[in-house]
Amino acid sequence: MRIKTMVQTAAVISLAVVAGLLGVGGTWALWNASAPAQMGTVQAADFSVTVNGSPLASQGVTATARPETSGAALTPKTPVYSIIAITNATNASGPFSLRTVLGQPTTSNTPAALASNLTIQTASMPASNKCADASYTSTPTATTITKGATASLCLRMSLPQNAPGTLTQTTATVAVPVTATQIQ
Amino acid sequence: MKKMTKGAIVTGLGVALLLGGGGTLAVWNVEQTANAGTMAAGSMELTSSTGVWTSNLSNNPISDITEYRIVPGEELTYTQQLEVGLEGDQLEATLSVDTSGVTNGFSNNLTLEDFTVTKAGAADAAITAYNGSTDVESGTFTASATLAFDADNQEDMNQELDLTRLAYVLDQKAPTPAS
Repeated sequence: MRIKTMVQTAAVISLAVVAGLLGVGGTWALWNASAPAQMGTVQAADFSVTVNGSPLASQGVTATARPETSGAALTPKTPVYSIIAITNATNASGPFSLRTVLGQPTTSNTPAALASNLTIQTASMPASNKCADASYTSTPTATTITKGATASLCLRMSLPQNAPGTLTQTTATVAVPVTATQIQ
Repeated sequence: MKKMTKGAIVTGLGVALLLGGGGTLAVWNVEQTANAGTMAAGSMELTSSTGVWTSNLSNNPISDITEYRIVPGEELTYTQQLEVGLEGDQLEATLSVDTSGVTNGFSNNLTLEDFTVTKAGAADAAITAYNGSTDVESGTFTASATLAFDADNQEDMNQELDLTRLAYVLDQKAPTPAS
């Protein structure tokens, strides 16, 4: 019983010594030295793309494309053009180019007769800066935009020569998906 | 018995008189200088110079990392000089990286990696990212680390990786007593 008490007492004293050393910052450490790396803070760039001035978010955004010529009316003889201006507005410090693609246009809130007669095509802006001079195709139009630059694309909406007169005063809402992807 | 007591008392009195009178009981002794010399402790120092960030997308150093914005697919490298001073005949040390103060806002595990230190004329020594260490000796070392922003990262725009508290640490190795 007496030996057991002595052992317990020794254990308590030992723990108290260890705890005391730790508690007051005691140490068995050897020498050490340190030097700051002075690396600073590294920050990622943003991915800022605007379509006709509206930010293009990852979840999509609706940007209004106005007719190239204000007040232009769509007739079987006169197509209507719109300009889609895409700006690579990133704050990246290094090279940062985008590949933008205009997808297949779709219509909504449109009478069936108008939708079936309406042809929508896209093209890159020609050197003349007039959408009427562009070469239109039905395939998606892609272009590369460097950092800080703006690329203009053209949208042409046209009716066939034999479009029915019942389409007069009808309206259509045209949507064109714009996809921007970082390339380097 | 009485005689013995008296004798002891008289003897003690005699010794007391000898001491009181300045007598001495000293035996022979000599003195010689040990000449053990002067003991001096060594020292251990680690200093760093201002480092330089570079990008794999440019040939020029980055002038101000706080104004720089990295993009997916970009890899930055930080290079700086370290001065290691070990003064002590039995002093050996290891070099490691203390990342305990790093604040990482990136969700995609953007981390510094490939820590290496190189001494002129010697092979590269790798410090495994965040946990490893390497033996070093006195001299000038070139330390470098890389930061690779995954090209497949679809997130983390505008996020920050605060490395201002990252430090290199020099630790003395425990000496091994001779057997």
